[in-house]
Amino acid sequence: MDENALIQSAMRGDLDAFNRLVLAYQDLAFNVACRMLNDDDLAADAVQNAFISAWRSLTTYRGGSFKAWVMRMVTNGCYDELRRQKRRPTTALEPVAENGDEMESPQWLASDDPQPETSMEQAELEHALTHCLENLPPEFRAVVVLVDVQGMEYEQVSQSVRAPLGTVKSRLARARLKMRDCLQGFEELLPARFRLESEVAE
Amino acid sequence: MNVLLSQKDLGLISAYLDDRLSQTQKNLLEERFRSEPGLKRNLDELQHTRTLLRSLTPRKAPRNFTLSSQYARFHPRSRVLSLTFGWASGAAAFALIALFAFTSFLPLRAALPMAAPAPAMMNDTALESGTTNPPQIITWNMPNMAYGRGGGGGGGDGNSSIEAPKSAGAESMTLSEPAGGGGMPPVINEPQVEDAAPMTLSDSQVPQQTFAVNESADPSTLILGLPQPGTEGQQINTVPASTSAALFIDANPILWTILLAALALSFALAAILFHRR
Repeated sequence: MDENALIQSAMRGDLDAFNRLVLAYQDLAFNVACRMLNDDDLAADAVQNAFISAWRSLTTYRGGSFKAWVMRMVTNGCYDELRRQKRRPTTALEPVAENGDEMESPQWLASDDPQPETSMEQAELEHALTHCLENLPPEFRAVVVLVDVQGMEYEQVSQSVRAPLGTVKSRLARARLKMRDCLQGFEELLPARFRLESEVAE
Repeated sequence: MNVLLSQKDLGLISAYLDDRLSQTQKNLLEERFRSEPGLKRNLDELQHTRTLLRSLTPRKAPRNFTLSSQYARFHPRSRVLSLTFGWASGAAAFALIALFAFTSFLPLRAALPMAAPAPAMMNDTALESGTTNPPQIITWNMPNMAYGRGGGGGGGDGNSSIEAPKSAGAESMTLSEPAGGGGMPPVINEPQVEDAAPMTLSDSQVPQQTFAVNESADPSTLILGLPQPGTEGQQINTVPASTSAALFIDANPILWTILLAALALSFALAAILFHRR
């Protein structure tokens, strides 16, 4: 069954058809939510709520990119969570080292890569990028995650974030500039292969 | 070291990276890259940033986010019905409020025009000294209520006092059939006055142009629809044409109120029922 047939079937109330769509898009949705919220548990909640909202409001889907339509639910859920965090900031319980200093979350140290050196480098990059993404305003973060991390088209992103195309382009350009400025602070820490060639040459 | 980058150049470089520029714009920008090293450096840095972002390892969903069978009971179409009934309930409630306002204020609006021409007619009566025509008593729409020249209560003495409406039940005002006698006031398509005797102007201010309704029409009857001379004392009930809607509603306002309230309540309950499904 192709996607359009699944969508039509789901709109008629076929939950199995809708679940097949969920399986097709859940990885993408979880990725976006993770990059937006920087927390696996919160991201999972946001994705689950997004798919529940999608099922309940399936009649509002008027054609076009179903991927963008689902991503809209996910980004809205992430925005809601970020607003909630802003209203009620929480302090994370970090493990404490032997000397009493707080340790950073060890999650970024974990890697499935069999080569430890590569996994460590990748982890350092992930840490740097995650840190810089977290410093972006939510609307900038959403655009750069959807375009640069997930590879979506401008038009799809415009539909997902409910902003005009010009606004998407502007936000993306400014987000990339902010990311560049932030990553320059990590440049010395990044492995050579992740540095800019000109910087390495210097 | 970062080279200062204008917003316009930033937008161009960002679009260039995603191949969103036209061929002409791309050629112009590439020429600038060759001639401006600072701009080229910015391009390299932004391109590098984008490459790093794309190198992020995709995360796999920790579990399946499929919906359980309990969600199968919720049919997407029920949301449409819920919204439809919700809007219908709101419309019925609005109509109910409008009906209440209409029936509450209609008697007040109907009473207002009655007072306005009275002073003019009083002046007319005062100016026309020596007139021998007895004042005309006209009852509009409400029996036993007198308006118009000569005031109320059947005066033949030329008094121009106005009697307040006897009936205070504005909400329950009913329309009565014409009581006969004088009949309907003349319908005039073009203003025509045979004799120049306006109600509010003195004799010296009589307009030059003449108008004619019929041979024996009194000018004051033209606009107000007052009865013809010679029909004094006859009760003439007139029904203003503009209140045909009021006729229909006022025939049984209580019924309409109950009907609209019941509609609003039932639609609201239906909307809640479909929303919960």
